[in-house]
Parts: sequence; C-alpha cells; structure tokens
Amino acid sequence: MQYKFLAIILFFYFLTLFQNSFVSHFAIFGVFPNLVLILFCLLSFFENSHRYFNIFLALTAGFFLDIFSNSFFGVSIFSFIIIYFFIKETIHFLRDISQEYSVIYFILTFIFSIILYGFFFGLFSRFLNHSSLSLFGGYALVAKIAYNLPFAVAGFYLLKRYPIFKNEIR
Amino acid sequence: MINNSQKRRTPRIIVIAIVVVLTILLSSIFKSNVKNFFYLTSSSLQKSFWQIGGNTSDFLYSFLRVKDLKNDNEQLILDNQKLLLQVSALEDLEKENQTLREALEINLQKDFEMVFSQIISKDISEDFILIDKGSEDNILKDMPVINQEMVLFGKISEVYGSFSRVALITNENCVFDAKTIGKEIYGIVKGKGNSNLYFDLISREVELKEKDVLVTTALGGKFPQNLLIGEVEKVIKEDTKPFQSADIKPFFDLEKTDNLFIITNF
Repeated sequence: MQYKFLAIILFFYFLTLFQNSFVSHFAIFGVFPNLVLILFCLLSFFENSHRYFNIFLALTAGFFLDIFSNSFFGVSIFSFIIIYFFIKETIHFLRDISQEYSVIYFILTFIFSIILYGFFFGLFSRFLNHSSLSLFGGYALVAKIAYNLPFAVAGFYLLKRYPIFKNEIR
Repeated sequence: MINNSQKRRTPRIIVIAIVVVLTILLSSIFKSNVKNFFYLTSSSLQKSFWQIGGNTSDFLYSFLRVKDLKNDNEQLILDNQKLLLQVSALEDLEKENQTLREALEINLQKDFEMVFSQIISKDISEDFILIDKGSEDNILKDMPVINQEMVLFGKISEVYGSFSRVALITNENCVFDAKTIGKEIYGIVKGKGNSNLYFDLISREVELKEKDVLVTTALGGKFPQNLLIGEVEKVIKEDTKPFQSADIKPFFDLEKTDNLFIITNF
C-alpha cells in the first residue's frame, strides 16, 4: 500500500514536470493539454463507487499543480477535491441509468470538470490575486475542451482496455 | 448497515479535511521555501524536458509548414531588401549621431546591466514562465526580461531563492506604454491572456497600419525604451469608440527560446 502511495506521488510529480516543460511547447491558441487533470478525471471515473482512495490523488495532483503554477496555493487542491466529489456523484447517478462505463458519460463529466477547474481558478485569481482572469474563459475554454478531449478519450479507451488499477474497476 | 458505513466514513472525511487544510496552510506559509525546494530539485530535469520539447515542436512544426515555406522565403527576401535600405539610412544617422556625441563630449551609449538565465517551464495557468535565476542572483520583482534581440518577454512577477517567475507581456495583468517605430504613435499595450496582446487608447486621428512595429517607451518607468514588442496584426477602428485599438502579434516565441536576459539596471 505504501509503495502505491509513493508510486502515485512520483508519477504525478514527473507528469507535472513533463506537462509544464515539454507539453507546453505544443500550445494552440495559448492552450495546451492538462495531462494531470485528464489522468485524475480518468482514474476518478473508473474508481469503484464505494471507494474513496482517489481523494489522495486529488491532494497529490493538486499539490504539484499548485507548486508549479503561479496561482494562489491551494487552488488546484481545492478544485481537484470538488471535481473528485462531482465525478463520484455524477457517476453514481449515471450508473443508475446504465451500468456501463460509457464514453459519453466520461466526456460529459470531463467537460464539466474542465469548466469547474477553470471556474475555481478564475474565482481564486480574482479575489486573491486581484486578477481579471475570466471565470468561464470564453473562447479559451472552448479551445481547452477541444484540445484536452481527444487525449482524455484516448486515455479512456486505453484505461478501459488495460486497467492499470484493476481493483478500482468493477 | 448504512449507519455503520456512515460511521466509518465520518472520521475518514474529518481526517481528509484536516490533511487538506494543513497541507494548504503549511504550504502557503512556507510557499517560497517549498516552491524553491521543488524547483531546485527538478530544475535539471525540467531544463531537459524544455529543450527536448522545443526541438520536438520545431521538428513537427517544420513538417506542418512545408507548404508555407516557399511563400515565407519570398516574403523574407522582400523584407530583407527593405531592411537593407533601412540599414543604409540608419548607418548615415549613426555617423551623424556619433559626430554629435563627440561634439557634446558625453557618452550616451548606456548599456543595460543584464543577468543571463534559462527558461525552465511554462505555467499551466498560461502567460507565466519560470527561469533559473532568483534572489541569490540579485533578481528583484518587476525587472524586465528580454532576449538577445532586445525582444521584450515580460517582467519578474515573483522571486524565489534560485528561481523567478516571469509574467509575460501577454499576461492579463500586464499594462504598459508603447509607441510605433517611425510614426511615433503612442498608446497602451495590454495583455489579453493566452498569448494575445492588444494596443489600446490610440488617438483616432493617427493612421495605424498592419505590420507597424511597436516598441516600449520610457513613460511609466516600467521598461527601458525601444525594446521590441510586436507588430500590428489588425487595426480596430469603431465609430462609437473615442479611441482606436489594434491586435498585436508579439515578437517573442517561447517555442524557439531557451535563454533570456534579465535587465537588472536601466
């Protein structure tokens, strides 16, 4: 169990570095894929509805994003925890309709997760940094969704085909 | 059964809440030290990622732009001819200037004091970059950051021990005075976020054109004068507005930049 925690911490640390230093070169309209958010949403989506292990992921992923960003410390941690509970509740509700891990369900939850993340980022920036950052991002939000979604969907099928956390998937 | 499950969940949620609050609180209090520690331990890896990323994106970009290369080449030949003409004119001016300096017996050639630095990463919240020089190298907040071609990138927004965060000129909070070269059209440059920039508060009487080049002015004292900013991409002139504005294409290109200079004295 301890090794799993350590592996997750190291993995998110390297993923954050990779995202900020490598992936940032592939920006389109100033936007580049948020791999940390994508992976976090995927793992939370596939988590067994009775388990709450991924709250630890929210802490780890949020912590590293906060460390390597200019935002107020805690914004990403807070946003990821909210997103985590949002995904858990949404999945719980959607599973009542269908028992399948539908890609449509994932796309919907992922889009709302991006919106939520952008919203909290804008909200904290406005009140704490006195920034004029937009709450919903305007066209940048559309660019973010369009650029992140193909990676998220590819990750969805990859994780569905090769579940790395087998015990998380029912 | 539900009660038991709820009973088991309640202490867990309390523990999680305490951990979250403590993490945020402690990290906020020691923010500078915590960030500096992580930047220090990961700087070599980040530099490698940054260079590999830059090379990879250049490689892919050259494939995507094969069709445009011919047109670009023709345009560059034309631009080069124009520039040669301008250089010739400037050489004459330089001679005249030199003569005047000698006549006045004063040295107007005042170079900036600069510190060399390398880019380590770009912020996910965009329009910020991290460089490998900090308070240990006498870097202070608000110092301008340029490249070797005197292209303005931004200013230092946050200083840690061995690192600094640079707010790019495209950052939404970045506002400064600028003018066009030649026509001396004055206005305010404002960042729009996501690598976008615009030129605002320009008098309606002046004729601003596409490709007009913007440089900094000494007004406001934020930046030294004559640092290159970008060129006018689209002029916006509406009858209902008292001023005209323009979208600006910044000259800085993060994908092709590894090294920068921080102006420590101007």
